[in-house]
Amino acid sequence: MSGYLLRRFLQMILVVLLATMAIYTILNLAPGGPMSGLNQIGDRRARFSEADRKRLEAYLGLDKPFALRYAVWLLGEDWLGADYMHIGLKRAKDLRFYASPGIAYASGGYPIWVIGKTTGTNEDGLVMIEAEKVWIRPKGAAPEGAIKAAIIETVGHSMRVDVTADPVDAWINTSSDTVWEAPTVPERPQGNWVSVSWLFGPYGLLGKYAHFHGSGRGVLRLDFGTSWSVARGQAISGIIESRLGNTIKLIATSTLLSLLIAIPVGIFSAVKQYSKLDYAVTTFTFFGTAMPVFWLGLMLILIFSIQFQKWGIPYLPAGGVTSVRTPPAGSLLRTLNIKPGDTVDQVIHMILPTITLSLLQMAGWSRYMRASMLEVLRQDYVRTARAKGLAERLVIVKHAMRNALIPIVTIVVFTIPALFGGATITETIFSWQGMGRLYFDALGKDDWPLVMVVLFINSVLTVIATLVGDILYTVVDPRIRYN
Amino acid sequence: MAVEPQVEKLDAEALLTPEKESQFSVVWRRFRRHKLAVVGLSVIVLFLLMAIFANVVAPYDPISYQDPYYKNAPPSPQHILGTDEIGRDVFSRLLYAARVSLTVSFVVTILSEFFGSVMGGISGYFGGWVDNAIQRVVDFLLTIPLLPLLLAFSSLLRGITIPGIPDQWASVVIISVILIAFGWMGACRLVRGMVLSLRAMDFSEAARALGMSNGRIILRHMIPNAMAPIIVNSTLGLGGVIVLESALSFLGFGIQPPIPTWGNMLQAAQQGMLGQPAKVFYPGLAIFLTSLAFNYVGDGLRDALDPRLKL
Repeated sequence: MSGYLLRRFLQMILVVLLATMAIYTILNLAPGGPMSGLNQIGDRRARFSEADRKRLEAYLGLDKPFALRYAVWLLGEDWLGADYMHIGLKRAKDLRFYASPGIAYASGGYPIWVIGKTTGTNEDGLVMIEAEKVWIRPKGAAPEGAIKAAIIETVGHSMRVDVTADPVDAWINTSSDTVWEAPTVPERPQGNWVSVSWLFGPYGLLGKYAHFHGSGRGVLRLDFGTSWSVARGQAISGIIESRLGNTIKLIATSTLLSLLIAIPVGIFSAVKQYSKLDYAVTTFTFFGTAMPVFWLGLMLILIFSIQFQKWGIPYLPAGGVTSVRTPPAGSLLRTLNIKPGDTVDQVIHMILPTITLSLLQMAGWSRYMRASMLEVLRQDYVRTARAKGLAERLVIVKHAMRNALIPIVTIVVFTIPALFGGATITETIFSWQGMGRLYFDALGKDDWPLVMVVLFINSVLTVIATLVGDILYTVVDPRIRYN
Repeated sequence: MAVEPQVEKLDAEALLTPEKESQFSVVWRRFRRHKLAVVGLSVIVLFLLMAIFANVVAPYDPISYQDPYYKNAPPSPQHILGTDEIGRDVFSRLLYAARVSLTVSFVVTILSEFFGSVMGGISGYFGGWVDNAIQRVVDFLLTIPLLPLLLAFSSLLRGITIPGIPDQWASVVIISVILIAFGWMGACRLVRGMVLSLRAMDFSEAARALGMSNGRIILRHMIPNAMAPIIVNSTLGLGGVIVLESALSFLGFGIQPPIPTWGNMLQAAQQGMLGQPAKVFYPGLAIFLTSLAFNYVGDGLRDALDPRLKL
């Protein structure tokens, strides 16, 4: 078994790696992306110029080759040498050096100031400037006589810039004579990264691919990066932490509830096949499976919040995880006089989403249970167990049920990824601040780093779920062997 | 009377050689015992007939008939289910929508369950590296998120034409292919789980001892014994595909708005749902009834196909 587990573990790593590659590709193939929708602003002056777009692209790293972006996402970018510029800039007063992507990073989207001579125009009609002195100044007054510009891209020793006072872009060429001035950039505290930077630094082979943020350590080293748009600039691990609790609460409750109801119900309606109760249970579960989730959710809100309110019955909250302020008069929460944020308050908020989720799960699971129970109940060994005089209860629980559990195990293990990933539709309908909703929001707002992290963890858990399922098979049926 | 003796003769023959009854008629006889399954089958047949003869049954054209002065109308003798937001007859649209929705859900479910079962059978029966390879592919496909995938495909595949298929149906074919490609893993895992357990049983040992080929054992012994969860999975899937299609329509992928499907009608009705809950009700009800009917038929079919039930 340990050999098998080791093999499976190695295969899992491979599958997850391939899956992240595929997911990354899919996200990048999808139309739109973070750059779409930028120009859908009514005010013409507020619109993004082509230069703004390029700058933003560079800031997000979208101008880099696709494969490299994936590598940076997975492994981080600190080894690519973007940090090299930190040193260079620190010593800028006594060093002369060339334009490089590090400069763009160090300027961090802030403008630079340039003094230099115009040397003509290039083939694209852009003004060429030979820089004498370049400042990188996040704050403070403009140096006298300098032009203000923002870096769009750097090629070799030249920077393409958006000159702020002029609608036209310009190329600024730097040489060994250019004087640089920059503020102190916080130094990276430890490590022997300097030598690595010398190898891979801006002058090195990979230097021009350095990502502008410079500090990411990659998903493999559990650095999930920062969100682009859902909560701009916030650490993704923090965002997930704030949502995960709500999702686990909801999914765990509804899964437990469904299991506790579905398995006995499934067994019962198999044992008493074609009884009135079987028909009743069957019809009830079919109602559950036949309804689209969002339809069921909306109908529940319509009845228990909106109609109840109209009829003057204490109504349930239509959404949210807890009350924020004192609930309005007439609501169940007010009638029971519950303080916002109380445990009871949270439980009452869980009622409708839990019912929605459980009803669907329960319905499906009890069908699987019923079908496989019916199959098992007619087998010879069950007849044998009965013949030797075992109590019917024992026959069903000890002999029949166990063998009927395989399909249930197959299905139920997939609640493991769901515990993390949440239930997108249900959470959206009930404004439940959970992972499913976060994923949906992130997808809608093209927050790729966030989407990638959610899908990455999800794929890890999915692969674990199938392994757990395979192990559980051997528990349910000891005859199963994976040589 | 020449007829009577003939009938008697047939009866006697049937009594003497009962095993001559065909497999199909055995299944059909058992199936009829499940009353609700028969009702379900009748509902499906009715829906199918209405879909096939939609051009005869429907009082109006589902797309071109638009009454600008009669939008969002409640049910009336002219429009028995009312009209939608641009004045089209809801009843006629539901009928035409059934064509697409039923076709897609049938084709997708049957093909993905079939493919999944065969793969699951092979995977579970052979075990070893075959099992490993197939299951890792399943794992991989399970981790691929459908929503972003369809978003990506929607732009790549929009405007694609398939020779021999009218353009407006090309999207239906493509959706079906994608839904099959990403929909067979459930059946595969279910069947594999069952087969892992079944192959260790005496009867499969016996089959092997008799020198049966592996393919025959999988098709004739393994999969039929794993039928119960497959049927449940398919009946759940049939309704699921229709609902999934509604999510796709929402994304602008797949079957585009002028062509009605239950999914995109549901999606469209959801916009004004709080003002007019009834609009969501009709397409929702159609999906619900179909799904319910499929569930009962699946249930009856499971009972009828059960080889241990000797009736």
